[in-house]
Amino acid sequence: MAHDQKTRVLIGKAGLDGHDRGAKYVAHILRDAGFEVIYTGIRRSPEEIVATAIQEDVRGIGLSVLSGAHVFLFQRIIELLKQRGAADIVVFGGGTIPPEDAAALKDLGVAAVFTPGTSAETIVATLRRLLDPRPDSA
Amino acid sequence: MSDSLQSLLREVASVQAGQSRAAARLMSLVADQPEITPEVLVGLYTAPQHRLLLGITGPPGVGKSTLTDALVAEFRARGPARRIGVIAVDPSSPFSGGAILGDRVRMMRHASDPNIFIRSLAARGRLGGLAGGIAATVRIMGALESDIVVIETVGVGQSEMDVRNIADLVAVVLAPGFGDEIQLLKAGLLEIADFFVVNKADRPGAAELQSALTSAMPQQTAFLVSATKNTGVPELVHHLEGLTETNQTDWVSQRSEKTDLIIRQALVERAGNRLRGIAEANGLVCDLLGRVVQGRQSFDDAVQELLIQAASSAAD
Repeated sequence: MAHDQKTRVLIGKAGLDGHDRGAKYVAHILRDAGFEVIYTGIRRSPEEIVATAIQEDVRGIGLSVLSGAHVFLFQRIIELLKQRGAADIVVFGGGTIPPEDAAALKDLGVAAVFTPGTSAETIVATLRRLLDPRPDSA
Repeated sequence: MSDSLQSLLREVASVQAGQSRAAARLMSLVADQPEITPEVLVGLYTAPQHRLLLGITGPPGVGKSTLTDALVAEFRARGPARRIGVIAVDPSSPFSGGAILGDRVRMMRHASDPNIFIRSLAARGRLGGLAGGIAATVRIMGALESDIVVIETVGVGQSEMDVRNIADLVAVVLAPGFGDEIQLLKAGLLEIADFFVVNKADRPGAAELQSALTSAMPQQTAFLVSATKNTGVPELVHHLEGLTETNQTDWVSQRSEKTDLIIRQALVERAGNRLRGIAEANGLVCDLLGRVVQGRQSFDDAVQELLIQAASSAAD
């Protein structure tokens, strides 16, 4: 039964910087593309983000990081997801992330990294591909 | 019923409250397919249930999420072992069908509290201020051993009736600066309240709003609260706990009547759908039509024959 299945995605900011324009921009383009976006706001700990992602049953977690602490934050989130048996949740990110770090993040298991200037179309198309509805949904 | 629904139901019914992933999955399934609500109600029929289901409604911007956050903090402070569920409903975009669910932003201090389960839902075009399948979502919160469940509605004014039908108590939240007394009287929102909360008590006009409410609706208490400063919140929670104690027996029987009604209606509706399917598929209705219009068979006989034929094809 394919019903009104919506793809749910968490968008938030971890770490200590408070610049949320990028996160809000992505939340808006995803809403306009038909996603249900759970927006968590700024300065969230990895623990808060993972607990929220599980309760909200999202397919993906998107984090905007502008503080330079991205490698640590993503690593911690991926580790917590594994601990909680939720490694199937797709993690992606964006922000001021240097290319060499983007490669390191992908090695950690971050599925996509959107650097400044990525078009809305690219973001939506990439996430549609990464966040396909669950095959096991009835 | 699909295998994944069955196994999720089993998992949720046997869940220790800390393990919430299956419950979260089941909530998604219900949001996508509200018609499985009766199956969930049956599957969790004997699961634990909440003691209080509090509905919070009111116009946009009055501070419903902030009040919910403050109430949750106060409930938790009074009962360290207590579990609390929050269901926060936000509107879906009528254009894209997408949604930004942002009520959690005001509740993030509870995000890593294992005793609090917060779920955001999109209304998905449904009128009435709640989301489809909400009765099942509430039941799942109960199965997670939530003592108190708070539902925050969309809050778009005059279409917030759903919460009246499901909640044990409904709080209508208002704040000064949202129109005068006449606006209040015509709003159509006041009648669904068991009590009022005048939020933003620190702002000018709050006391006037409280007395206007008291004279318009003398049966319902109007509480003066500042959710951000936590004034008036302990008194409100004390009041709610008293009501919960007094009314528990009545609420339990009202809830079980509502549950049974949903299941009963679903049984009849599904039988009706199958009957229609069978009647159309076999061309049975066309045959009967012919005989009825030609006067060869009475209307009542045709109905009787339709039921008998459908029953025998359903049994195949």
